[in-house]
Amino acid sequence: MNLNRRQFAASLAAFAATPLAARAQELKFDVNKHRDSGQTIPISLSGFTGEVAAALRFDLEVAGCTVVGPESAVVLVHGTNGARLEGFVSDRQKNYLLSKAYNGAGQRQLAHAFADDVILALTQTRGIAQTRVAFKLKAPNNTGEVFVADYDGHGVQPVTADRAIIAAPSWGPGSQWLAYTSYKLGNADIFSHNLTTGERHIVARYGGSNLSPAVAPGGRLVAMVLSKGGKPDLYVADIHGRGLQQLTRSREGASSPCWSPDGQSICYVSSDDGSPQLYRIGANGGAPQRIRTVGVYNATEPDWSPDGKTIAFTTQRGGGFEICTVPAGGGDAQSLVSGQDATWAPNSRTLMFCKRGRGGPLSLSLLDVPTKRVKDVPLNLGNCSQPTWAR
Amino acid sequence: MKHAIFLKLAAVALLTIIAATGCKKTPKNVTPIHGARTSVDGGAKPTGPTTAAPELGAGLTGLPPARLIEAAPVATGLPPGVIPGLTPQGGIPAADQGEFDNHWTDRSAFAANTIHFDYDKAIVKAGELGKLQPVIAALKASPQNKLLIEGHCDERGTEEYNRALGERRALAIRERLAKSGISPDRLRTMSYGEDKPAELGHTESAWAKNRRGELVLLKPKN
Repeated sequence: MNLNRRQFAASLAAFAATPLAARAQELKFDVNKHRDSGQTIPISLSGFTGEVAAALRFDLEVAGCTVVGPESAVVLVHGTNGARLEGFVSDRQKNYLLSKAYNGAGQRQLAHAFADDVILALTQTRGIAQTRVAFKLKAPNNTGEVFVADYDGHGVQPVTADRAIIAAPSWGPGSQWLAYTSYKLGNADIFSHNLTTGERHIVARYGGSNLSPAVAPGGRLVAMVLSKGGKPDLYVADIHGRGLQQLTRSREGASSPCWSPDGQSICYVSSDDGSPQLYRIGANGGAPQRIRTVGVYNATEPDWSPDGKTIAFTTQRGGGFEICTVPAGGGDAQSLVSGQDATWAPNSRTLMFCKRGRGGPLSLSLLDVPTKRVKDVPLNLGNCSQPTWAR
Repeated sequence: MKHAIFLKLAAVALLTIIAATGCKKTPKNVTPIHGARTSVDGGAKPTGPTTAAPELGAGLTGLPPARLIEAAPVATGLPPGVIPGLTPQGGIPAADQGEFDNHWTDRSAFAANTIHFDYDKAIVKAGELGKLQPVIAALKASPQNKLLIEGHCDERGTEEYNRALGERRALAIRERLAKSGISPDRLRTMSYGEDKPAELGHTESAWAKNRRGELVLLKPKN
């Protein structure tokens, strides 16, 4: 039995344990409005055990919920897990918003599938609990490898075994292949790598350095930074490296390109105005336009949100790094949290980024942007950086 | 008053719904999730918790080993498309990587000639130019030799920004040498970004040592 959102909102208000006088206001309770305004959704979680309980709690907290006792929750999430998982979402009076059972996969996958259904039922938006990320893992001898994992750090798998410096993984659409830079052949070269077959192709191996591949949303093109012309400039080619086209010819060079979700524009970084700033250029070239980031004085490592509205980037301030966002057309920059090199989840709401613990290695964390809540990704592998979200 | 009426209506509506549906304890529909996630490997997942290992990824299984399928598209062939209207501010084009195959690398020859840079700058300072003189003389005396210029950064920059900055530093040295009469086709650049610090540590002294361009002599094998 599914209530629609308005019914559910009304029921939450009607039965919330609040004084009568407050109820009229509570009638306006709307899960999405609540979430987007930076507040978390108080939920209770009961009945689940072990790994399922832990995975569910992690998923729902990352998605903007706070797990509280049943007396203060507006949403009750409960169920059982054994051979199969049974999950229920209700209000305090057991009006069911979701009632579903899951089997046919591992315990974590069942938990993630239920978590996504909970988020879908509550917010009408797709969850991210079943998504994957790629990242770079750096060894003490400075070499590194590309790894892939579930977004919560579980199911880690190595992609490369090059024992060479590696950088900048970027997903192809469908999560079946990655592009990245590897120094395996004695130079910084760009490869595409099919994760199913292990087949690897050279995308760019020109004289000079071949850096920072970014696969376009349709997967047909790759933007990258090549220094073959004498400066690190922005180029676009197809995924086989054919049809190479130079987009910028800058004084100070370009770095870290990313694509707009419609594939029409590329955002990149250049120091042509004295300090690193964000620019936008058409995928077919044209005059670059500055993307203003009011309030911060430098901007690197941009990532364009899948809904096209926001660009996340890194700024350096006071000897540290901060994750910021800015409207894609430019405007006031909002500083969110300490860290660097953020990547958007498919929901355009969650960011994964990289931070350095006190004197420790680089590690990955998740940020729920509206609530600014951070959860660390429980990886214990060493220096993890340059996360990139499959979407 | 209106609120009170609305509240009553809402309560009645809810009671009706509860009466109609009851409090279900058992779900009607069981939804099997085959391949709940599109797997990228099809192989076994690691079962235990992953721990740090001496070799990256040791103990993890799953993805097939990488194998290189096709040769590189090289700079020969069709010329790259260039957008009309670009201001010609680019530097001196690079020679193909193949030009530097079959060379011995001698890291000691110019170990004392490492060029250092200011923070976030890719300009060869006047005070550093003297270190290039012996390099120029040696390259002029042995025209068969070539040079690899490796650009590096300190950790105070993001990774890919630093990778481009390291390349700009290497290219700045290359331009200096070219202006002094060394053919740019003998000069190869490479950026390591912040990946190979000369000195570990988070101090200005360590950072200053890491913002550098290292010069490696390349001698033909034959």
